Amino acid sequence: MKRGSKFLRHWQNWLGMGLVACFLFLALAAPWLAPSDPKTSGDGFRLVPGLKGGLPFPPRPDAPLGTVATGVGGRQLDVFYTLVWGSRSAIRFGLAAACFTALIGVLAGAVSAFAGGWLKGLLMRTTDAFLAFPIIAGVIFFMQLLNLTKAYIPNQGVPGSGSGAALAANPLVILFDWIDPVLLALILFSWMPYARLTYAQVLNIRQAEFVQAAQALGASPARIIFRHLIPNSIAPAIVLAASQVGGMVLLQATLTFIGIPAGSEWGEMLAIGRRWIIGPLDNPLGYWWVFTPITAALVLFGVGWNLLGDGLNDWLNPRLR
Amino acid sequence: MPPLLRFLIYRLVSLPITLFIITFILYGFVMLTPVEVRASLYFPEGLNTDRLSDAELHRFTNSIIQKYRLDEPFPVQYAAWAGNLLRGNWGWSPVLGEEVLPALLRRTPVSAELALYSLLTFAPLGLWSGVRAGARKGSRTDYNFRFAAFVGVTIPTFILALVLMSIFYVALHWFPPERLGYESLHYIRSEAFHSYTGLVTIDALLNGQPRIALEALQHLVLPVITLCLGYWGLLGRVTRAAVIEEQHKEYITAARARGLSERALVWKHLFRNALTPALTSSMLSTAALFTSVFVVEIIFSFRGVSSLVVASFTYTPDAPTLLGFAVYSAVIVLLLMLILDLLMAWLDPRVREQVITL
Repeated sequence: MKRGSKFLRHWQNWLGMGLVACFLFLALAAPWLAPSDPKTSGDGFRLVPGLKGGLPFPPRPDAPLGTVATGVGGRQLDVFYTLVWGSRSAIRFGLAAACFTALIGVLAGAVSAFAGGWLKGLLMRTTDAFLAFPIIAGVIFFMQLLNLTKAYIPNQGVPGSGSGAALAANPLVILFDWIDPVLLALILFSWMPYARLTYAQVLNIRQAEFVQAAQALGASPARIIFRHLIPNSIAPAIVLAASQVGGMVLLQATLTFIGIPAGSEWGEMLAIGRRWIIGPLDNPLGYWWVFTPITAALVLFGVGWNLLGDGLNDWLNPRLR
Repeated sequence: MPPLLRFLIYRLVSLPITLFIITFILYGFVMLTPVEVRASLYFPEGLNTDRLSDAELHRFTNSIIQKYRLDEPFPVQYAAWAGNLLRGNWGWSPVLGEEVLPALLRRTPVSAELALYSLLTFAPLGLWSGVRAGARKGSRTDYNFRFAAFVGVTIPTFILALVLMSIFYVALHWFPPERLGYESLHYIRSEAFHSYTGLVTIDALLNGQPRIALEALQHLVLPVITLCLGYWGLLGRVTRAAVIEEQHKEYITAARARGLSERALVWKHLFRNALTPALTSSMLSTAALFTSVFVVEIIFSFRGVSSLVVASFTYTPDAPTLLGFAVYSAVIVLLLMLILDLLMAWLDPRVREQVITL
């Protein structure tokens, strides 16, 4: 395990692994760390029972990291609860986005490098087309298309409860029931780097002897791609995926913060507490608990995955050493 | 034919193909929506849906479906829509009360100004610091650069924006948000102010109003810093990696053996050859830059192109704006990528030759 020890020699890699492990722990232990109660909590938020007021409350026994005032009926949201449960949804979202993205990219790259010809041409053109499409436009496009569909269908004048049935039968509604529009947009518009990486890798080993041997034995193209080409060229894609988990979650939080309902609890909490980020005149940091814990969580989440990805990259890519 | 010209022709031919693929996929998704949504793409100019009763709107929509054959298969509908796009007829948005294409173009200079100043800041800085760090790998400079670049790349845009705003606007009152103060905004919209380029900083100077130009610059400082930090880190890192890779090549050793000064070595040889990977990575992140510009625009209330679509999250969206925005984004990014591509081919003969084999 000489190569493994090289990876463990850098403190940055330890820090990266430690941070990622922390968030994994938070996510797994969420039900014990911050027990939920169906009456006051749901979707990553918890109203502190019996606490009312126009201003955020500092840390207290029933809300260890303080509260954020919602501005609706003086209700108060628990910061700690969102911090813990938000990490669960962040990890789920980040991993799902990175894995699906890598999957599509690796498949597209491997198939086009193996097949060559018109299929390669088409796939590479498609890669170029997707590269020219900004993620924000994709996210807005999918979300609003769904909203439009929902807005128009009840107007069709279907008698009785027919509109519900019409809505359920719409292909777009079915699609977005199955996959979140934001997740779909992120996946659809970020697989291109994986395709390029895998394409270059597969092209290198396509003429290798073990591939030729498999071909001579009569292995099907699918078997060659999945058993020989992909396992031997997937390492860089995994590295890229690791460093992208953080980026995906940051993007989701950013979109949520600017008002696009992208479903990041951390982003939403910061958006709700936006008015309190700047404290009273005599004390600009007067409501520090409204934004510090969540911001720290977001930044550390990004740092952790980034360090992990960079470390893996240095370790597996000898050219940068 | 000179290789550069051949390269240009090849790129110009592949541009419409790429656009075709993008619009094809976009309309493919639109096909999944109810036919009324697609009918709204053909609303005539000046239509006000609020004045129509439900029954009238229904009848009107049906007449559009008949007229534009929206009950026919995908290729027919796509061709009709794409033809309209090419003719510059991007549809009428009852929500905006405006035609979509002019609405997009009118707001473009606001976003362009932000992007332009950011580009002029982070591109030279990123290249410079990347080359310096890479040329002295392992030194103190290199270590500091790597740390700063890591911070720049990792801090989320909106958090950086909030921190900068609370320090420099709330606490110090140095740099206010929005594009201009109320008075100046009123003035540049008045008859007295002639708009040449749409970029306030330049127009104000051309109008002999240096005070407004200064004010616009003051408003640009925070958004530009917010945008630049991440892209500076990204570009610097790529340049650094490229410089390190070039450093061990034989031509560098040869140049050093000939007694070339270290300075000339770095800037004449290392820098020139590291430029191609740096430009390639910039090209790949053009679309991401577009996204960042919009995020920054929204946080600093700049009312650029993004205001067309993001405001629509508070009310019912409309299909022409939505599709118009998507196509517009793709066109802008493609044009930027074309410029970068040509720049690359002009700087590096290897890039020009490559094309022919594709």
